[in-house]
Amino acid sequence: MPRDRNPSVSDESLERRLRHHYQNMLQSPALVDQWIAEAQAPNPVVRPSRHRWRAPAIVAASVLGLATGAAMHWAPRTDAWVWAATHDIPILQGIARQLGVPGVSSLVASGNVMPLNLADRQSGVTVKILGSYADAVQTLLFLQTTHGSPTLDQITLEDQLGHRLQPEFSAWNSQTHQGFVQFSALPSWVWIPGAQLTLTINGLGSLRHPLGAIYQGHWQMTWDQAPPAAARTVSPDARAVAHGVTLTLQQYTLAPSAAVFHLSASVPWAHNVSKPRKQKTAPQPQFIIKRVHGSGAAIPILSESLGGAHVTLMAEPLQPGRYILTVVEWNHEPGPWTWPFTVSQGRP
Amino acid sequence: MDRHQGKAVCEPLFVKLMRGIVPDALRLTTYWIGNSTAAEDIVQEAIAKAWIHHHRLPTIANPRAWFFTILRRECINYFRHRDRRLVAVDIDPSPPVSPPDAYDPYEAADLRIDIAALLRRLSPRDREMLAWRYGMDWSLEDIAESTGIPLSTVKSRIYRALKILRGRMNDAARSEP
Repeated sequence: MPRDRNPSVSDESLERRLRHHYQNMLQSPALVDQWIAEAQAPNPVVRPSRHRWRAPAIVAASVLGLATGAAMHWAPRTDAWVWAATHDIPILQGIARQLGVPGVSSLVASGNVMPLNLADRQSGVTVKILGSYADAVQTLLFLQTTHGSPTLDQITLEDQLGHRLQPEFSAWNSQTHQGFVQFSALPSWVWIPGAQLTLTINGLGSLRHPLGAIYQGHWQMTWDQAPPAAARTVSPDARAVAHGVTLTLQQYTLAPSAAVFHLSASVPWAHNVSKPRKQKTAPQPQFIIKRVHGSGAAIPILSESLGGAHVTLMAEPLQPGRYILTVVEWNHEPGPWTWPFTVSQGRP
Repeated sequence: MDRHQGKAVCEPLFVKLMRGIVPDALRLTTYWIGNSTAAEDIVQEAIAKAWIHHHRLPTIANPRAWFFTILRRECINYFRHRDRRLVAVDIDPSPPVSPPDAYDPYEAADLRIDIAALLRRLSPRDREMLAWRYGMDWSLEDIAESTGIPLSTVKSRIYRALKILRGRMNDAARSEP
């Protein structure tokens, strides 16, 4: 490298000074200690809310690597997760039992929900997050308040990149002020660096005052979400034809909390088709998932989402075995449209 | 390679690449822009953008250079839009400086000079090269390989950045009482 012929500040001095400056930027002992303590904390820590993502876990890993010279391990706060997975969670089991929502009880009983004990108090009302769960098909938050209940239009859940998860369903016990809210799933790649979620509630409703007694406030809590258990997504793009209507099983995802099926149709679902109807009530497409062997019992369908030519079904999680998904009727046309599939041992 | 095979191959490749590269990326970005909080955001944006194209990984000859190209673009964007941000992200305060091991009259003089402030006045590209060379302590050849910038350009940029910095340090030292 060319050298300045007549420097007042020597090259060596300048270079040494630069190195010193950069080293000091990341090797503040106090900061390292702080990050080590955080990484080893047995319980997720509530951090001050921030508009943008802060990834202390990644930086903690980075700084620890710098400080110790050890190989980097890019997995934030596994200690906290191990602790969370094994911790007893009777309060969550109680909520699931009270509300009696299929799928959630078994999920809580399986110990997959991460216990949290985060609280924020605003305007005399405390909102607590008791637990959270996330996998490839949904995100669930178990909440408790001192007054009021969260409503879907006043609650937002965002990941560290600012992706807002869609609130889809909530169940609330107005006597115990406990319940849960279901959101859409996080994008899969968010889990690569580790997911950090922020819950914001801007108002709480009250069932006793349906005309809109709202507890105003701005409750906000942020935490590191435990990574999901393994899930598997299969995209068979398998078609079934009956009466000139083609239905396609585009994709299904098998996750610990549920099995989700995405179907599309060559003819959109129409509520007002001119074909004569036998029943007086509005027609509904009928979906059945049955296990081929064993009891042959139908798997409970937790939710159906029908939008034009697309259907999303959420069913209880499937055990290994052979199954058949059947659409019994589509626009009054009797099917059936069927797709056999197998859930293999050990996955997800 | 069909869609599922591609996913099965590319995702582990991407995760492996990120595990190896993100610590360096965070360090470099922090050194470069001088703010660890903003660096986290920038690296995360870079990961997100890299993920969008991660299916191309098997065909990329130098994945490390590929990711650092994305990251460098994010850093340049940060400098471009920094003044327009609603929330000002300022430079971390300069850490306390400990005395040098051996007496150096020049170094003794420039201890009084805030090097962080001088670095802030350099162009982003000059700061980048100094961050690579003296923050990451990488060789010129390694910098050229990781950034995809020709070796001669790396050399000349570092030389220019040092020259500017040295000149400003001299000016600052002369203005000291």
